[in-house]
Amino acid sequence: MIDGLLEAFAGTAAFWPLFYILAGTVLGIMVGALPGLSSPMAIIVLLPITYTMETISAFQLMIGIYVGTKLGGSYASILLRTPGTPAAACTALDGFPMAEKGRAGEAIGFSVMSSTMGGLIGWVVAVSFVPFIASVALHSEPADIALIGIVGLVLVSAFVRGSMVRGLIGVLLGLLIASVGYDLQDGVERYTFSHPMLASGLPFAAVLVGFFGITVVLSDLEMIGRRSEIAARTSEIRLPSPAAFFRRWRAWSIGTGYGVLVGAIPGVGADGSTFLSYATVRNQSRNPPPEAFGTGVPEGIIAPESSNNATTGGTMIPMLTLGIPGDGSTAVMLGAMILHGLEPGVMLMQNNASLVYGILVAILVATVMMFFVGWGASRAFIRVLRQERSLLFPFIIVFASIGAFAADNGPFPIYVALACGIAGFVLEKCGFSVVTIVLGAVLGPIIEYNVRLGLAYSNGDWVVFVDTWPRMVLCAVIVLLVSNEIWRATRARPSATGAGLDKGSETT
Amino acid sequence: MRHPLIALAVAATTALAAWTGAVAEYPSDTVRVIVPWRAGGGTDTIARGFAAALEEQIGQAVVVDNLTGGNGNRAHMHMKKARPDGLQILLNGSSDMNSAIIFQNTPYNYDDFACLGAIYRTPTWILSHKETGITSIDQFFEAARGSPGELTVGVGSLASAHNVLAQALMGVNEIDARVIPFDGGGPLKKAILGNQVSIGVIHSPVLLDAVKSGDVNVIGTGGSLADIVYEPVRGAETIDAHGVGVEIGTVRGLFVPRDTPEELLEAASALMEKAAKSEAFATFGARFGFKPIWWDRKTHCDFMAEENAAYRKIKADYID
Repeated sequence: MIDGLLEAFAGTAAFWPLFYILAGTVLGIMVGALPGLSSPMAIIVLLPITYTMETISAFQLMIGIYVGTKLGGSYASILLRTPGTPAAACTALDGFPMAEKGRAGEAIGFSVMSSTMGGLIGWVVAVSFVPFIASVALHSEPADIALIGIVGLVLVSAFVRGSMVRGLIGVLLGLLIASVGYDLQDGVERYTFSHPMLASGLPFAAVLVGFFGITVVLSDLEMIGRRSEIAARTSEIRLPSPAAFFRRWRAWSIGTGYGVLVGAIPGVGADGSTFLSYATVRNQSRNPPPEAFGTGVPEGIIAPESSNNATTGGTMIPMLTLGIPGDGSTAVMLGAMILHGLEPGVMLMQNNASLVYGILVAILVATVMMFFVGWGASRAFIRVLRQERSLLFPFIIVFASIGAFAADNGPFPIYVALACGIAGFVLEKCGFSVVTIVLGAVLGPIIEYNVRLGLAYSNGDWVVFVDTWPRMVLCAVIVLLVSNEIWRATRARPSATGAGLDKGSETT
Repeated sequence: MRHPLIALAVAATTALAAWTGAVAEYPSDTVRVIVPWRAGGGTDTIARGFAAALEEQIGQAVVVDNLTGGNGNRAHMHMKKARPDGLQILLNGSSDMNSAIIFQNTPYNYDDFACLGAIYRTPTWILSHKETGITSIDQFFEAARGSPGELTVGVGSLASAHNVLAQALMGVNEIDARVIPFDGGGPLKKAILGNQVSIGVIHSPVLLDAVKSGDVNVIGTGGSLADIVYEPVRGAETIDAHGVGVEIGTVRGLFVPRDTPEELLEAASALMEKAAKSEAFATFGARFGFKPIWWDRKTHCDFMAEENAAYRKIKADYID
């Protein structure tokens, strides 16, 4: 394996391979920064151009895009609170409040550093433990995935501490949104009202840009007229120091760990791992205290950003060794392999080892390039925030609309985004946090689908959720987390007021 | 009376000449191949292979447009209302369209579209992981009869040819096993490779590489595998031998709106035939796993109707 990697490094150290990776990375950062565009979309658009290229060159370009978009997504989250993907949504929780306080430079700087660190460590771990990662991806059963999802949902209680009822209502609204469409197990239509476009549920990208992007515009519109408040929000271009980043090692270690392991499990991926890592870092944090999360703390950016880039290595392993896609981009890349005359699957490593190593090396090179490109581009992006804030509203609306449109290439998701935006605005006014709704919508389907699939495997026997050691451990973690939450809630009750993200949302 | 008749004849001839000109120029603008599913899946990959072959034939770009949403409803409704100019062509699998129509009360029917021809045929096959020890349909039946209700049959979704095949095979042979619907082919692939289901029913040639490596067995098929590129599985047992008298698989075909003029249908179909029979598409087919086919408009449309009727019968007999 080492020989194969060294050969691939030697092959990559030439002008054209480096050019393709760089071009892909630059394009990926730009695509990621525009909420309407996504990594699978960019790869598909470029696919016909790659037909005439050598296979490895085509994949170097695609890998550059794939890695670059993971960072680019954070720019829109931080600057506009309009994430184009669920994987970038978590970054908005602290990134946007930080930018609002005039610390956009720090926010983007932390995002670049943590994305790079997560990507590098994730790559080393993934490449060092290929058989283990492949085994985790292959042998994770629905019961395991359901329990991981439940751990995430229990961790969510940390988001809503101090306003438990509102938080739970928010999560339930998210679950309700996620349950629209055909039920996969029974084939029953749920909340579709016989509307043909609702058959496969509400387009999630539209829900996301609605609850984040449109809601923030509506909230900010209220401030028009109070010019002093807007003018006070000038953004600094000062980037964070490496020492400030390394001091927060706990956040990027946890983020990377979740990214590699959870991200490698098809069906959970970067969407689930970012929220899990954010919640874990928030829960165990003493300085800053958990309550400060959501108001603009660097740890709230570092955890999800290190996590979503760490998934790039983890997601590639099942794709390259088993032919199983972990997300939309890897699904498109598997299709591209066939169009390039390859046969993806269990024999790819055996028949096309040089390509597999070439792809792995391209991920590492793209991650390094992403750092330099991302760092260099930070200043340009921050200048966006130096404009008067009201000038940004039309852009946010336009990008949010494009992002929604791109969900289904049609106008229907735009209506969904607008409806979610208005609902989000009203709910935030009533003291609810839209984050809890999005969390419910992200984790709800993962839990429901896998609980029911797990029960179908076991013929309805609930013992399936405790019949292996990892599941027992996960159940114990759930019990501990719930007990801890109840204990904290009981202790904090006398002084409880709306805290955490509810407080953060009020600043928008 | 004479002059109006002459005028009418001149007008009709002019209109016909103009129309023939339009047909002769087909395609007069960019052709869009509409795929109802996300990029990266089987139908999308075949569409992209076909689009590349079509581009060679017409000498201009052919755009593949993934109109996803509404579980396929969006693309079909879009096509139903599209201008009948032959510039937008829907590419979908027969079983994907028919099973949605039958199981999901769709706002469209297969006869809302005119067939242009079929280009790719992949039977649904039945796979098992090598560690299950199941290597034939008979062995599966024997094991299922020994432990009623215990064995599992993975299918891509409830509204799919996979489920139709599983229910028909078990219904005809009175087998008691649990059908487990997954969220599409990707998760089912993982369940078969991870030995999490006793058998899995999925479109061929999915997991062909695992079949070649010996990790997965082909224990049966919904139709003949004579056209598959991997010779050792060409003789796999068909479900016909177990009393299921219909062929189950998916035939990827091309559709346009029903009111497309006949001359345009002919011109478009002729062009599609050239692309389907081209060297470029044959090369793609060999990579994907099967030789491409070409079915003319009538054969394609007749097949859609027959498949629809067969699925309805299986649903009524064994599922409802």
